[in-house]
Order: sequence, then C-alpha cells, then structure tokens
Amino acid sequence: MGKSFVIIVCCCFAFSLSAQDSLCVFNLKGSAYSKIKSSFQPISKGMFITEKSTLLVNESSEITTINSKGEAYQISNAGEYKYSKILEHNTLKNAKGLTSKYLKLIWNELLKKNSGKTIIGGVFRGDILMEFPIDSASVASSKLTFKWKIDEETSQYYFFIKNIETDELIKFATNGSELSLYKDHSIFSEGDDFEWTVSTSEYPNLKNMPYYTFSLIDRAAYEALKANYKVLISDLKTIGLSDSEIENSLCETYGICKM
Amino acid sequence: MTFIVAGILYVAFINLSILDPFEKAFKDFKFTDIFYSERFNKEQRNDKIVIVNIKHADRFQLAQTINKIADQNPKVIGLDIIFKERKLEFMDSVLLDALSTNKNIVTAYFHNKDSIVNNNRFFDIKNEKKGFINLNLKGQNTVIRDFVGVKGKDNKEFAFATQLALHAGYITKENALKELKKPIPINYIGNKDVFLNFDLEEILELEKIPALNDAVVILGYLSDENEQFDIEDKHFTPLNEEWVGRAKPDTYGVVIHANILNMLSKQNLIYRVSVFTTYLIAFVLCFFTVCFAMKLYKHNSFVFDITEKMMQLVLSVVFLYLALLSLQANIYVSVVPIILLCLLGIEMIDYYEHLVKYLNKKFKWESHLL
Repeated sequence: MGKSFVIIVCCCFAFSLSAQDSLCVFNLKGSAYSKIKSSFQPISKGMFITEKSTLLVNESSEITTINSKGEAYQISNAGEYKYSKILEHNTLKNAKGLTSKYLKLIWNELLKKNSGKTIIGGVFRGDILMEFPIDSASVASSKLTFKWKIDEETSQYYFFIKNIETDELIKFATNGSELSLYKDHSIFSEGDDFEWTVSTSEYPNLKNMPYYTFSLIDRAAYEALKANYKVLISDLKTIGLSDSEIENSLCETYGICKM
Repeated sequence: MTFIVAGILYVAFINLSILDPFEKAFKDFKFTDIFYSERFNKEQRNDKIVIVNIKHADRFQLAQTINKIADQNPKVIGLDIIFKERKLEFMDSVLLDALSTNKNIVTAYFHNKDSIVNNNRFFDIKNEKKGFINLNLKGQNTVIRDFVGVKGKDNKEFAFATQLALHAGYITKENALKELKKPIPINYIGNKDVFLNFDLEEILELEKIPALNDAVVILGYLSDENEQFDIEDKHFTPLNEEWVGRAKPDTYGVVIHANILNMLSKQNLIYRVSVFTTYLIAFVLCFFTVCFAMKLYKHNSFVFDITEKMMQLVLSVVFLYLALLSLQANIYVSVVPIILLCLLGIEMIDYYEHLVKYLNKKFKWESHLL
C-alpha cells in the first residue's frame, strides 16, 4: 500500500512537470524582456518563455509567441505579462471558421468588392511623407524638429537620419507626425550635411528611399544667408509681418531656418 | 446524356491540340486553391522547422553558419543549395570541413531532363545524405500542388523533404516507400511567416538560439532586401493571393520544402479521391440535379426559366463549400467535373425535352418529362 502511494505521488509529480509548457518567441518587433525573480534578460527571436518567467513588453513593441501545438499568442500593448496572462492572447480566439470566411468571400465576389485595383504604367515608389524642414534646407538651431504626413491606416512611423560626412545612421520608431532631436546628440556636428527620411516600413530598402537633405549651420551663417533676402524681408515688414512670421516664411519657402 | 454531351465537348474542344492553350489555361486553375489562397485552413505556426535565409552569402559565411547551427544540436540541417562549381580554394575547403564535420546534414541535388546536377565532386563526403529538390511533376503545370517523396529505379531516390523527415525521425523508410511513391497534394499551412525564420546574420550574431535545439533547420534563399521584387527561387503555389490568373510567383522553394516537411512530420497527408470515384460522385449528383430540374420544368417551365441561373449559382457555391470542407478534413476531391456536369445538366433540360419528344414519337418512349 505504502509503495503504491509513493508510486502514485511520483507519477503525479512527473505529470505535473511534463504538463509545464513553454512558449517560443516567434516574432518580435521592438523590445521585450523576460523577468525571472529579479533578473532581467532581453528577449530575442527563438528564445523560450517558461511558466516561471514574466514578460515585459516595451512601448510600441509587438511580440508573437507560439506553443508546442503551433498556436500563436500575440501581445501588442506595453505591460507586464505573467505566463497565464500571455495565454489569454491566443490569436485563434477570434479566428473565424471556414464557413464564415467562405460566405464572406462569396459575398465579396458577388459584389465584386475586390475588383477595381489601380493599375499604373510607370515607376512609383510611394508618397514622400517628409514635410518639414523642406529639402535642401539650412538649419540653425539647438533643437531640430522634423514633421511628416501621416496616413490613416498606419500607426507606426520609422524616422531615419544620416550624417552624410560620417555615414552614421540612426533610426527612431514613433507613432506621431513629428520628432524633435537636440543638437548635443552625437550624430550632429555643426557644418555637416544630413539626410533624413520617414518610412512606414520598419526595414525599408534604404538605398531606394527618397531623402530630404539639410545642413546644420551656426547663427552667423544663418544671419549671412538671411542677408541675401534683405529686399524681401523689408517688403514683408512693409506689409506688416512680424520678425517671427518673416523667419517662418523664409524657412518654409527658402529652407533657411532658425527653430 | 449529360455525360455524353460533356464527353463530346471535352473531346471536340478541349482535347484538340489546336486549342491546347485553352486546356493549359484551365489546368492552372483549381477551385480548391481558394482554400490556401484565402487561408481557410486553421492558423498554425511551426517552430520545429526553422528556415535560415542565406541571402547571397559566400561559402565562408555559409560554413560559419552551418557550424554555428550545428553547435546548438538541431535534429537535422538541410541545405537547399547546390554548390556546383568550385570557387576560392580557401572558402571551399572551409565549407567542405563544415559539411564533413557535421554528420546530420542533408544536401540537395536535382534532375535536369536526363542528367543529375549534384554538388561539385570536391564536396563529396562519406555517407552523404541527399535528396532531390525537383518540385515539378509530370502533368503538373506551373502551380506546385503535388509532391512525390520517393522515385527512381528501385525507389532509391528520396526527395529533399523526405530525407529531412527520415533523418529527423518523423517518418520511417517503410512508411515513405509505402505512402510517398505516388503524387500527393501538399498540405500547405502558409508562407514563410508561419515558420520560425532567421537571417544568416542573426544566426551569426546571436550567441545562442534555443529554438534551434532539436529542430530541423533548412538553409535556403528567402530574398535579399526588396522582397517584393525578388523572384529568385520563387514559385507559384496555391498560396498565391490571386487564385485565378496568377501573375507573380509567391513562395520560395525552401518554404515549399518546409511545408512538405511539416505535412510529413504531423502525418497530415491529404487523401486524394480517385478519378473514378470523382466521376461516380459527379454522375450521382448530376442525376439527382437533372431529376429535380426536370420536375421543376414540368411543374412550371416559366419558374424554371427564371430560377435556372440562380440554381446553377447555388449549386456551384454549395458543391465548392463541400469540397473545401472535405479538404479541411484532409480529403481532396476534384470538384470541377462535379460542378460542370451538374450545371450542364440543368442547362440541357430544353434539349432533353426535344429528345424525349422525338423518342416518344418514334419509339413510344415514356419519360417523366412529358
């Protein structure tokens, strides 16, 4: 009796161990960490998240994990997730069955909803999103603000800026329509030329992207450039524009900016 | 009678070589492709089959990658790559060393008409495990739907995916010889996004990738930047978004091998209903459809004329739905002859009437239609 009891307890223990599962990190956009007790470990694709670990997902990050059956769990909001909490994000939970997908397809085919694609005969490499500062601008400022157009269907934008002299390139992910950078950032150096672009793709082909360029100038250089537009400035003053309005219009029209 | 007319139409119009393009155009089309194209199958992913994108890496980088993967104890490493020519002595030697040191590697070769294209003899290693990477089958057009796992004299040649499955322990040799000699439909689960995949640089940069342990790792090409415009080793499959009039190839060769391997590993083989059974089903369904249509025609020919097209639409939708349901249950039925015969049967009710009248007049033939 005693032996049987020990065997049963051992079996139960073994089953409980084998029931433990882990999730494989299948896809990761942005960054996330695994926390076990008080130690943090950055997560990368191909790692496993065990029942003992807690998942920390950063802002603007998205992580997809799968279990041994191939079922996916996707988390796209920042926060702290325990193993059991991750399992609540099963992508199959809201998946539609064959019947509803099929009926939807038939309905769309009947209404010809998928027809009418735009076909063009020419090279089109997408819209230029960049708005400010304009292309080939000269900028004198300790704080550089970049603005771009936003698209209704896209929430995440990727901003790339490159120092043409040093080839140093940095990338930022943001969900807004502008980004401000300060001149004390290592990439900036007065007198250098830069190019910048905004993409909706996280990993675009950078060789094939449209860029706007600008030069980082000091105040003296700015005043010298401004002096070339003396006549225009006096005309604008005559019609009643203030100094800041004149500077804005010089920046927007001729790309001579002091932010 | 529908069968006779359909037969005459088939012989007279489709089988004539002068109209061969017509036949070819329809060969590329299968109604059941909708199942994969519209992703009707249950969403699933696989982390036990890992794909490594080799991009345009040189042989030295490939050798480093193979060694790095091998260090993490995968079940098998598959190389969906042919090293046909010799290149730089140093790089070739490093690659040869990587191939011969790691014993669990499956290499590739292919049949080109009557010849076989292998790796250069320099890369010959003892007890080499290799599989053919041909995906084209006799009678199969450009769309890759079927797969043959074993072929050659005395069934000694195994496909690349079969070799991987054998050495990973997913199937036995006996099973392969029994099940994979005839073409079987590939049970696609999805494109490259359903398999855990890494770029070659990621493998080299990351210190350790736990998912590689005990997985089947296949090295192949999955584009080098600008995937949208890249068609190197890309093929047409039922996964194409356009299930009629495909214009751009959709799936990389290595992903097709991964799908086949997934199917073999999960014993998810699709049973294909034989041609005889398909036509038997078509005959039975056509018979009942024509009976129903005749009754309606006799009852009220005006109502029949109004509802004829509607009936044909509903029948097509229902039969296709049933075919997709059976495909979900891993049974493949070629639904085109079934749909065509039933539609033709309804279309021919007027001709039946004339025929029956003629037969009745001449031979006192009685019919339900009169």
